[in-house]
Amino acid sequence: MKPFFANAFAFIYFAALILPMLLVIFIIHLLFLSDVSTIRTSGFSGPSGDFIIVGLCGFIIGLSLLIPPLRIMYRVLPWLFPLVQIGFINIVILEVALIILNYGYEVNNEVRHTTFYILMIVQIVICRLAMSVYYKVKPLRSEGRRTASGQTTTGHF
Amino acid sequence: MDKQQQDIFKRDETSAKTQNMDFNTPPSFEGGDPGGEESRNPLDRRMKIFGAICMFAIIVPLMISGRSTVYDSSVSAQNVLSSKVSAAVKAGVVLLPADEKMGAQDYTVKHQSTAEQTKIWVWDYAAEDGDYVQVLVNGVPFTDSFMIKHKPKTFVVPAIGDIQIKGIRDGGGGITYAIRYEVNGKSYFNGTPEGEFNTYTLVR
Repeated sequence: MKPFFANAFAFIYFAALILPMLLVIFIIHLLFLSDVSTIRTSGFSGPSGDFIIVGLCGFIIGLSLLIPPLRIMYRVLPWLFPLVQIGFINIVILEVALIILNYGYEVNNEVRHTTFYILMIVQIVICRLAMSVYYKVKPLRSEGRRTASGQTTTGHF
Repeated sequence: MDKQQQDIFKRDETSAKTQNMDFNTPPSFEGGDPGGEESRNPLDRRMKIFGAICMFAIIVPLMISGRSTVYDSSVSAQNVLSSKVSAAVKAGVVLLPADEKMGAQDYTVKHQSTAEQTKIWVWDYAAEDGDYVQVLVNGVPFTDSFMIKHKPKTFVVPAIGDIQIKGIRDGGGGITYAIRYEVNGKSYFNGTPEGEFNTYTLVR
């Protein structure tokens, strides 16, 4: 009975929270370039409330990883943990980039605008490089699955 | 033991192991059970660490968003909204959670200071919604246009002459700003439409 409830809880959590959150992460990636373009063309800083959405995504992911019955979904779907990891880290990087750009556009000065635009690009490149080095040293692994012969395979990303 | 004897020894060992094996149970590797609890533990640990980091991610935005929005609801602060001028409140006071249309007004700032220059503080006393203003001195731009925030920006301007605050961009609800003059210790709570300005004439 207990495994049934655990599985049901994990399934509901996945369908009601994880899936929409993955969609939000995907949308944030798509909208990033549009946000940067809006700020650059208008010459004014834009709203910077998206970090609340990033925080909420982090909260949902954090709960799913810290509560043991919810971790079932990462065993059933081996691709989920790497996807969630990369997706969340990416939106944090992009949100920090937008904060930098917005700060630069708080004063209407062309030199300042250019400086902070370059800073934003440098920040994204450095963070992505750091991420690449980290995952080279500690590769992402999916949960192991038993094959029909009884041996265990682990996928490497 | 020579090589031939070593090979025989190894063959005998293998043969003994094969005779003792139970082919009905799945094979297991020596020293552990990969794919079971032992091999899941490092990944579980990594998941927990990442989960803890993600939970921390909600704390940072909460700290940032709740940091500076402390509204002054004291009697003297609320009186300011009707009188629009006050010597009782300090620079950076936030009076309203949202912008309200405040009529634009020009002021004459009388003082007895003999200093050539004076400090002014400019800030947004309502919502930080992306309002931009520019400071002009005697009709000439003194600063680049900038976003007004709850934290006051400080400038040093001449103690005699016209100080103008020009509305550059309305983030929504009207451009609401406050300006405090060191020369007379008073704060002026004002509003201005986009493209227009309020003039503060400083006289001795």
